[in-house]
Amino acid sequence: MDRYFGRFGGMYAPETLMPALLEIEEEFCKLVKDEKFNQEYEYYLKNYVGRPSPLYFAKNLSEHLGVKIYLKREDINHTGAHKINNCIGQALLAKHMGKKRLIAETGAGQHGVATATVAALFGMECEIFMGEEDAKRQFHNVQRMKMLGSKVRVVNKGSKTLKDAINEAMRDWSETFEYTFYLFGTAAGPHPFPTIVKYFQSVIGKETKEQIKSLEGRLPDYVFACVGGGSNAIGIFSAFLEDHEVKLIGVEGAGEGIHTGKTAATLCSGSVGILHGAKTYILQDEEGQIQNTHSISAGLDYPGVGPEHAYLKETGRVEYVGATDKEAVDAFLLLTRLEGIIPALESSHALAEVIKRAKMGLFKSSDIIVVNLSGRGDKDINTVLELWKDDEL
Amino acid sequence: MNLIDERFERLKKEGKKAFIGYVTFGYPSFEETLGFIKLVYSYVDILEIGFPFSDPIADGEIIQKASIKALSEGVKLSHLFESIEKFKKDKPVVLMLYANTVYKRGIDRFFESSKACGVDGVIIPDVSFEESFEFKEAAEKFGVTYIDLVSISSLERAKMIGKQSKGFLYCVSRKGVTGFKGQIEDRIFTFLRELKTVTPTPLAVGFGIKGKEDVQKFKDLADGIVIGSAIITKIDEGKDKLEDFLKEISESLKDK
Ligand SMILES: Cc1ncc(COP(=O)(O)O)c(C=O)c1O
Repeated sequence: MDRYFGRFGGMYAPETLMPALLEIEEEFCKLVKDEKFNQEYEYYLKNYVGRPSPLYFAKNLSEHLGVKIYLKREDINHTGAHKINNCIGQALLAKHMGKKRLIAETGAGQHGVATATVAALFGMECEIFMGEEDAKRQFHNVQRMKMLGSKVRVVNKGSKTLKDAINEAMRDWSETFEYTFYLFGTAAGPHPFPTIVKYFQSVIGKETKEQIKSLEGRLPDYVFACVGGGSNAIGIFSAFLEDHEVKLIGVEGAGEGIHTGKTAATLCSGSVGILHGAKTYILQDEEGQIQNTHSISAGLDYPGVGPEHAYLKETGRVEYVGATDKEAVDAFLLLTRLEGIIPALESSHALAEVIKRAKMGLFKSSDIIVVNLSGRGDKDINTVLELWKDDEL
Repeated sequence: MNLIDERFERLKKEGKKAFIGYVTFGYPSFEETLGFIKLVYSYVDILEIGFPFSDPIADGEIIQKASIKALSEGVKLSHLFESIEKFKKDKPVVLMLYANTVYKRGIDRFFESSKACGVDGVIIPDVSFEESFEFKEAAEKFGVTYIDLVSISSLERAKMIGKQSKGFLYCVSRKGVTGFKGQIEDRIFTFLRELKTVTPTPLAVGFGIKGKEDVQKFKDLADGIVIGSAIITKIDEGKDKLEDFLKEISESLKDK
């Protein structure tokens, strides 16, 4: 299996963890070829997650913006986001490897909830690492994880967000890997995680491609997805990478703006470095110290990004842009009012970019647009309430 | 011959083991750090200076805290290089720092400056053997020793790495991060014995060594011991306590 995407990726991990990473790589390589494993994975996707998720034609939003918009409804999945696709797959892998305990990092809490859920489903012990800042923002998800029987370890170091949760989970794992599986939540981190997560999320792209063909008889002109670590984006993009007529747009959390220093738009304003096991784009200062990030959306508040996205940026296959907090909240409210769908703040960033382009007249009226609605916004209601004014819209 | 090899040869002839002491650059403060570093340097055989990183995943609580404090003091890589120049004598100095610090400066440029200020070796704990080659190439080009880490978590890999190692082989004595949690596991002794059979490189044991008693356990099997977190803890207790500790360790390594 290739460790690299172009010059990005790799296994920049402490020697203590190398046997664990290599073991996962080896077992994963075997399992993806195993008919029974794939059948089991598909069984749970269908009967537990509720796949395939619909590709919904957003009629009201389309009329409002003057362009055809479809939403890939990952928000309808059990536990409320795309994260569960990956969790089912990796938990089955962990079980197959005989591991008894799952650990995971979480920002928005969606990956934590999904991991806690599969731990309950498969009867495994589970501990979730979450930055203190995120635990405050996502109080409800913390409670959900606890109800599902997981421990939640609140990390009060560094920026107290996702990157610190990853650091702490890595530290735990380097002590406990003999019985613990680190269920990594996004398409970042050391090899083989970016490849494994992409594999389990590629179901989003495969379904989307079939659905749009049967609905429209052709491929879409654009696919938009938000990018935190990049798992939902790589999941939906993966099916279209070879179809060069489809424009792929990744939208990062720009916070207060790409050049304000209060941002999480790694590909837009970062530079190449090494963080959390991979050579990729990161937000860093001149000395190579990792910078604190800002995004209204906990799931995008990360100073790194999956290495394949760094590669896709460099080759120009995907265009990466940023949407600000304000634009995301506006998009959140617009979709809620027009379609009766409350999107996750993460997904709202992808929508915000579509809205911006539509308003600037950048689409043709014949264009077909797909937005990956990576999750539902129940978890974000408190955050939006702080900014919401009744008379908006 | 480089200073690291020279030092191990001399110790071997004298029947002694190397005392490798670790300090975080910039700790406990910008003003005091050099004083502490010089003090440690005067007692050890090899000085290991850690340059702080914002996200030190291979370090435990104590070194992690020291790193964060040091960063808040505003230390820069250029300060480190200037400081080394000031006190470097004939004892080897080894840097421990994270991959991104080296990468961001430019790998060649980093090793060139390291050599120029008197650095003898470099340890990068988040670079696996697989990813080490571009760092090793640059190290070699500028005459700096690249020191590999091996871990008790895989003897097989340790042997593979040991066959190509230079300077000394840094043997991580326990799973997990730096610091001392739990007991030293017995299998480290078999691990060292086995490793000895495949490599002539001196073996240095580190991670989790608290004091004299732990040192005694390794005296017959390792060629050196690394003490990090315990030194940081003593720095917190003040210069006198630190000096007592350094004396005690270096004496216990010298008597037969
Ligand atoms: C709903 C939702 N979308 C997107 C993300 C961002 O992650 P990724 O870029 O891996 O899809 C998250 C992360 O928590 C999320 O909860």
